[in-house]
Amino acid sequence: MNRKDTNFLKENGYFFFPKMLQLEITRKCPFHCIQCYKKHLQDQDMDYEYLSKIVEKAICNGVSLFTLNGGEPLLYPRIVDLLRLIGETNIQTNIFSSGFNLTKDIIDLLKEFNNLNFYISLNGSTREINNLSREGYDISIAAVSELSRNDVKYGINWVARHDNVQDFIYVLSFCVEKRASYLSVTSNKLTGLCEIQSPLDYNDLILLSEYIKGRSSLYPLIFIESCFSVLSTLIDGNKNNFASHCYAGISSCTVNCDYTFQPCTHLEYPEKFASLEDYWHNSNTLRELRNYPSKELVPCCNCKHNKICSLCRAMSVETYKSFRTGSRSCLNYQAK
Amino acid sequence: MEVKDKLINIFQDNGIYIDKKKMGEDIDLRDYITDSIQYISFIVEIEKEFDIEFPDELLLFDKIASLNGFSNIIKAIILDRNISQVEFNQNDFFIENDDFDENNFYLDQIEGDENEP
Repeated sequence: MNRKDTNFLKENGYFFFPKMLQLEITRKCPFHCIQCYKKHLQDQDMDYEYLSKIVEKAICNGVSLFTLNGGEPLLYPRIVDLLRLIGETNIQTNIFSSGFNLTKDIIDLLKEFNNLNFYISLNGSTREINNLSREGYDISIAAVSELSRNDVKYGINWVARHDNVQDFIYVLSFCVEKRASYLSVTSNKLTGLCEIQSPLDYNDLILLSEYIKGRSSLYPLIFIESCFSVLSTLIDGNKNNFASHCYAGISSCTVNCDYTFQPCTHLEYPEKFASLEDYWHNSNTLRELRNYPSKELVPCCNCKHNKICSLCRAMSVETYKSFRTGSRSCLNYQAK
Repeated sequence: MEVKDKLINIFQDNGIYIDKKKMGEDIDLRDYITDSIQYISFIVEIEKEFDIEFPDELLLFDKIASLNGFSNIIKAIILDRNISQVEFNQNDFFIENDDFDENNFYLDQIEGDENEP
């Protein structure tokens, strides 16, 4: 960051250029997961030339994190070229995959470039539990074995739900057994049907926080995603909570493969603009997000966790449909 | 209010609670601020609170480490805002058990710079 960028953030409350960029590189996916929020979208790939220009522009503007998502990102026709392109930039890049189409070429690239952080999405330690929300269990397990066998540093991405929360400790053991370096714990968000399936209840949340706090081993490293601050408030009120909030519109946005832009992959408010910068500075959707930060919304503003918690708008219908509404269904609301 | 107290308040306003018992010790800020986006957000909060501007060298994430070091820099900036020519010693940002000394490196530099054209 330079002085100009810092002053812009100070004056406007958002970064001059997004520092984290989610790239929806393809909408193709072999699976039809129950929890999917993109089932209604047509298969499509992002044009590689367009994608290359976005990446180049982002690098020139100091982006610090790319996220590749889909669809299944490994089905992107030029995934090998893309991974090499991004790998050589040394910019941290998260890739979320089912493991489908994990080829030797891709494994070699993951080994070659330390900035490529590869996550296998898995919601259960057994087929039965995983199948309650995701498809492709056998493929994901095979991919994990392949990554482990090849000494690739990788992580598991796990969505917390009522139907899998008691399985968390077994997922943790699975990570240890398969030498996963990271376990990303993320919140259960609205599906394409605009509903939360198998939502956590308060006891689930407490159970999960106790599992995480009580574990004896440091590895795998557990990352609680910024969208899940309702959990992080329960786990660690002291460390690593600075700015642990939703970054959508402040430092992050999504570029879709159909040339539209939206605040986050989970906030489907696509808009067409001439360029990413044009969208970033002129989108009414982003303006709405910025003008109504969750800390100022009722009832969040009256909660004692207000300072360290930030609302993920995709975790309830009410907050998804209006950015001016706080979460009335929050599990960890406690009046000041 | 002391600079360090204000800094700790900024931390608290952003959800980081530092045990009051540890107030006398130094703190490794890298335990609390883990990436460049968090860091620059923290810098912006401090600049707003103290109505100061950090020199460009300090806008880089890898400069961060010690709360006391940070606190000393802010004191130096407050005492003399014309610090653009101050050369910062990176070691002063790392953990150490120093108390702010008005005769330390920064103030010497600033006072010297005052006579520069």
